[in-house]
Amino acid sequence: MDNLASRKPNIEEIYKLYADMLYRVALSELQSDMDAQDAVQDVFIKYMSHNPVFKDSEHEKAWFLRVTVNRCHDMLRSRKVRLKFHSESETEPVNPASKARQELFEVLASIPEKYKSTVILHCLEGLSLQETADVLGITLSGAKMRLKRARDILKEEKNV
Amino acid sequence: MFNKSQLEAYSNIEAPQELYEKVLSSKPKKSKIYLLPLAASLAACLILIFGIGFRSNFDSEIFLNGQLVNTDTVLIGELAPESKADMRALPTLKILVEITLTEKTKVTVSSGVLILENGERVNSVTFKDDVSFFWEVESKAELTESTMTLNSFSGKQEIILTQYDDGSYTAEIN
Repeated sequence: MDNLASRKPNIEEIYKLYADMLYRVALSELQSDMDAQDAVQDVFIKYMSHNPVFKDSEHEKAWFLRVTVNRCHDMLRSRKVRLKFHSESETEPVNPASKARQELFEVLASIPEKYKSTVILHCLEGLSLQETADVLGITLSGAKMRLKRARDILKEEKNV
Repeated sequence: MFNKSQLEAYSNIEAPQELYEKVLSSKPKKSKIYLLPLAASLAACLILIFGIGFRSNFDSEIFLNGQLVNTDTVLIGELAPESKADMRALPTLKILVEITLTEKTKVTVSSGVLILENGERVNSVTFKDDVSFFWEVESKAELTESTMTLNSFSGKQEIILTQYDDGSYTAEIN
């Protein structure tokens, strides 16, 4: 079986390979540059701590995405707990580099958290629905359902 | 859902330079040490003492969810937070097992079932060649160990799957 074990890439190579993708996903989930950086840094620390060996690059990519999404969900939950006790604003505004990016984040902000990861991985990162389901630990029909709900919500918002 | 310019704006997002510096200056965390109950530790010692005689140059590679399992603990995955909160949402872990084999080998699991390519669900099965199947075990957000044993003419190998209370699960060759 061909695997990546024979030549373990160093952290710089791994960073170059995945950092942009993971940061995009984390920024879309968290809508905060600092939180997204923290999430991605945590993911790389986890990678360095566990030093996992993968069968191939697809499994490696899926692992990085899964751990990033889970870390973002954890951070969103603790953000909710913080908000219960403090009256701070939910997100620090992301400095939009362009009008299109600002619009993109507005669309993402209107999608409920439960469906957002499916939209990010499938519609923005280009993963297949099966890959998205695998990363999120849900069934294929669950992923389809979440995507449909997100689309319905956006359609409703447009019509209002 | 998104127009062309929004998709383009998304793909143009790059990780900031300061993140690169933060990551490269980060130190790996030491893994948590869980204190097993005395009886379990004693049992592990006995397995080690008696098992060592049966160990051999087991010339096979075992992948769980695409990750090579070896004598170091490897993180196989984590339950999604919603699954941690509601175990009914994901009552089982379904782990893809891929094994390269050079001889007839019997695979047995201490808990859960093996789901073969034809859909058959068994606790024990013998293979002659490279094989892939699913190992389905009850999902528990608490410290739980399950074992998969590979028995062949040249020896025996045990893979310990450990589930932790934070929803993560690891594997290692005993």
